[in-house]
Amino acid sequence: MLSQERIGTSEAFFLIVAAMIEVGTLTGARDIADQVGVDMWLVSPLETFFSLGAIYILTRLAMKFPQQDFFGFSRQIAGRWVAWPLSLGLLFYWLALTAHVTRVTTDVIKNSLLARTPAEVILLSLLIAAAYLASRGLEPLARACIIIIIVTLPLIMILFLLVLPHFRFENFLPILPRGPWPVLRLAFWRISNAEEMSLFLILVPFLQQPREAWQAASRGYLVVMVIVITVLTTCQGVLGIELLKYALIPGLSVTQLAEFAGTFIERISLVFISLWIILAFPTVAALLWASAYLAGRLVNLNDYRLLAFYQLPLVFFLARHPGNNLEVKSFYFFLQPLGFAYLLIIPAILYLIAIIRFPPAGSS
Amino acid sequence: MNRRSLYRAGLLLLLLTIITAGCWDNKDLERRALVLGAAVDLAAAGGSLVVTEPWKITLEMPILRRMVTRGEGGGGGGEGQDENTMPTWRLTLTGTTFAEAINKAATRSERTLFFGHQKILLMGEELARRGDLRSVLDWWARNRESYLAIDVLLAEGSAGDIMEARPKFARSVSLFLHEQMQQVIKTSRFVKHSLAEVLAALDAGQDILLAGVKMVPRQELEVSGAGVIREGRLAGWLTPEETQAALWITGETKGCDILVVPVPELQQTLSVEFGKLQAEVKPLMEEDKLSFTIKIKVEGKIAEKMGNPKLFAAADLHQVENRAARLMEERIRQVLGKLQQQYQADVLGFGRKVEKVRPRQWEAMKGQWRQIYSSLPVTVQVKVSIRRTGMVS
Repeated sequence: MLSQERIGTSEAFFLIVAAMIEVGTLTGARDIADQVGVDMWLVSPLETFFSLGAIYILTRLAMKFPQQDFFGFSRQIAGRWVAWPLSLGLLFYWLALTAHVTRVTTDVIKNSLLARTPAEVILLSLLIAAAYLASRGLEPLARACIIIIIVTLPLIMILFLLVLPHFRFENFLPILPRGPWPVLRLAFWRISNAEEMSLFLILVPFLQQPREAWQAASRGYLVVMVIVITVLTTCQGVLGIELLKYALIPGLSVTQLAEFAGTFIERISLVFISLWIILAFPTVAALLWASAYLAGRLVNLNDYRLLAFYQLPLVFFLARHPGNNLEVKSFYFFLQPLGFAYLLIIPAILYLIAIIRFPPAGSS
Repeated sequence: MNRRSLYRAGLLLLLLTIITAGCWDNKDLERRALVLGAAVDLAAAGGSLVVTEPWKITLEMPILRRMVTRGEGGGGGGEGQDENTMPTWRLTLTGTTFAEAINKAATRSERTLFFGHQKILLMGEELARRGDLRSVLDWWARNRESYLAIDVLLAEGSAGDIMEARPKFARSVSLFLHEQMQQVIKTSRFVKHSLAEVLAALDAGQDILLAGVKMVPRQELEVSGAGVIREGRLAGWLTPEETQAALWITGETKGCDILVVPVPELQQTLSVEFGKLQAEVKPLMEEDKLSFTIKIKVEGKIAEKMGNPKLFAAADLHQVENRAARLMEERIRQVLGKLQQQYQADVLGFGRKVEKVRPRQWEAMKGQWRQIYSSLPVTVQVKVSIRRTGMVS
């Protein structure tokens, strides 16, 4: 870790909000609708409760070793032979996640804004810009996140509110026609969708107040979930469940119905999607930064930042590999189980061992 | 910044300049033809779907210089306008699919068609009767330029012929129809449904009403009545009055309807203008027997009185309210009969109500829903409250 790389709790909060909101939020409604149908709107609030539990365990584990990152504390808890594969797995997870986010973003840009621009050009521009931001280090990245969030998020939410006249409450009925289990099962499984919260596995030593890690993580996550729930609920309320299953980017389809009296911009949805795409940059940059840092730790490199660029060929390859947009989900099938492991199972096991091996001072 | 960082930043800038400077999607406005509306039909007379190119599409595009310097005739298609002075160009194309037909525009137009400003999609009667509407609309749902907010209408006869109309004020047929659809706040003699609503209904296997358009003398257009779409095809039409009654039930009416109520007791004929209308449609299950109750509450005012010049008393208004309520009930029963027995089309969403309120029972009956629906007992109760009598007593 470089000496100047310290961020405050509020910067960590903005970093996590910016990192978690990405284009997947606009496309996610379809996946949930496919699995639970009309009860889609119930999944995200329940998912919030489950995920907060996982985030609590994750941050408690990291806060127990405030001067160490994941590689450091996992080595201390479980030994080198466990720490290495776990850290390599985490590195792969972050790189694959970066590839997934950039691929989905590229597909959305191609589908909505730049149909004739080659996908490789969009992908490469996105990756280079994000890698540049990541290579500046954590502190500039956090500041960029603050600016991006403050500028884009309020505008996005205002644009989204414009479709409320099309909202129909009957699109939420009937409630639980197949019982509560499918919803509960999916909500629990979707802990893995809080992917970027895994950044807290390395973020705590960078905090000026490591004890406030849980505060930054939980508040950031709650803000993100308010936005996610707003987007998903609006999608269902406006489009209805059948059209939701059919639309490729439900979040964008919804905004096509936005009408804003007096506006000279007829295609408001394009403004909306443009703003949302800006939010993909902090996500990609944060993941590239995190993977560069972890790779640097594994090879014992002090100034790791340029690794953000060296990772790009692999990310580019992974992002380009699925032949079409329908193959993306099946190609990245491993992300969800990996996410579940790194957000809940591994932290829970490590925390349990840590409590046993390193009991709090004063306990017998 | 040291020299090495400067080089790096310069290199990065150069790289980004190379890959982002030339925008592949850049297209000047002068090189675009803005499609305002599309009319789709079956290409062959008689409507065979097995011919090589079964689909016909007529696209209406503005000729901007004529739009700006339109003549004294006023509107785009106003009287005295001919093909050489019309401010729009109507391009008709045929194809095996709509994508192919539209692609052929590249052989007829030096400009690239742009669908981002399309206002309406008009479907011909024969196409709607014979073609599967979900397939017909697929291109618009898939095309990234198209908007889900465009209005979908049905033509009585050929949709392409409707594009030949000459609206008096509007500069094009598409703009006329688009503006006309906004009049839904003034009357429920037609229904306004967007592409999103139509797609949602078709995807869910639901029946839906679509606004009807027909040519009237002097090449003018009338938007009124509704086409009944059952299982993705046109099953028949509702008259404007039947459409009104149907929208009273669905609650889609925005008010302002005029109901002409003859009151023999007062020797008067009154026009009651609707204000607020609340509709409640409830499925009832008694001893495994399904029935529906429709309760409608209307608030209105007297817009006009004809006949006996006698001044209104409060008791007279009650008589008017009762007469209006009975009249509405009668019209609602009439449209219910037509939809249930003649068309067997659940455009009022009865099945959806059962599904939402009684999902388990719905699972058991959805297979035979059409038969159940056609003989479903429906109780209608209308309550009319007249709040005002206008500016005179």
